[in-house]
Formats: sequence, C-alpha cells, structure tokens
Amino acid sequence: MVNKVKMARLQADLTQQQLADKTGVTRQTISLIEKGAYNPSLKLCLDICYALNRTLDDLFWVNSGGEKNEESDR
Amino acid sequence: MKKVTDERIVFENLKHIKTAFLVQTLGIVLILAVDGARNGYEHARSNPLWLLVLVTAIVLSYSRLRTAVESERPGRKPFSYGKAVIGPLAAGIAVFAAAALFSETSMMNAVMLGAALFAASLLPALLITFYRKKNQDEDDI
Repeated sequence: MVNKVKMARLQADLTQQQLADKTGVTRQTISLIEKGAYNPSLKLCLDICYALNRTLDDLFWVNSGGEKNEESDR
Repeated sequence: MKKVTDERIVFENLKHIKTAFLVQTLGIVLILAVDGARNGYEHARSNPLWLLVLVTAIVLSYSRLRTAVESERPGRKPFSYGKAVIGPLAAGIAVFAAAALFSETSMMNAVMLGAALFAASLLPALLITFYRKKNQDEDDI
C-alpha cells in the first residue's frame, strides 16, 4: 500500500528503529510499511500517526484509483 | 522470553503454526494409515492417535461454526431454538427407523444409534441458531 510514512519519519527526524520503539513493533515492520510491502492494521496506522504527530489522511490516504492524495502532497 | 507485540510477527507466527499443524496432521494420518495397513483397520482405530484426530476435527469444526454463520447470505432469519431441535430429532428418528427396519441390529442398538446422532447434531444446531440470533441482534436497524 502506498503511503508517506518514510517522508514523515524523516521530517520528524526519527530513525526506523526509533519509530519502531514508539509504536511497539520491529524495525523490519516499519521498513516493510515504508516500502508498501506490508499493510498495517488500523491500530498500527494510528500508532504511527500519533508517533509522527500526523493524521491518517496525511500518511495513508489513497484515492480510489490508487493515487496518493494530491492535496496532502502539497 | 519477551512477549511479541508486533502484529506482523504475530501473523507470521500464526502462519507457522498453521504449517506445523498441517505437517503434524499429515504425519498422524500417515502413521494411522501404516498401522491400518499392517495390523488392520480395528487396530488403527484402537490407537490413541485416532482419538486425537477425531477430537481435533471436532474442535476445528466447532470453531468454524461461527465463521460459517457469518459468511451466510444476509437476511436469513434464524429459527427459534424449538425449531432448531426438529432437524436433529428428525435425523435421529430416521437413523433409528432405518437401523431398526433394514439392519439386523438389536432394538437397543438402533435406539442408541438414533440417540447418538440426535445428541451429536443437537449442539451444532443450537450453536448455529445462537450465532444467527446474535448476528441478527448486531445488525443495523
């Protein structure tokens, strides 16, 4: 699933390990989420949003055609 | 050992357990098949592994009842508990009648056979009714 976790994590100046520690998962899981290779549960999405101080829309919203939300890209 | 909180690893572990369960079941069935081929069907049935296979199948079937009811076509009205008993009762009577009329078994055995089928199918029928009623209660108005 396409997402903007990596961008938000870098903007928050966090490493994958630090974000993993904050959300209670392993670094590998964060890496897979950033690559779009693992679809996290809604609970984990929310935990990531809380850790990065972002909204679900900011990080995970995808338009029905599969394109990322243009407005939040701006 | 630290408790695993990572949901991805929990799912991975569940997949591993599924694979291990499959291997274990195949192994048990193979052992029973070899035992049956060497010493006869009755000998294989007296093996405790046979009981293990049966209990596992029953546990798995009961666990699947809930999900089976949830995947039914929506809008299906649940029977009352009274009506749910009719099916198992009819099956029990039918088996008793068939055993009494068409086989050479004793009347007592025929009654036991019918009663066993009734008892075995009553609990699933009641559980299905319970789950259907519960699903209906959870539906939006």
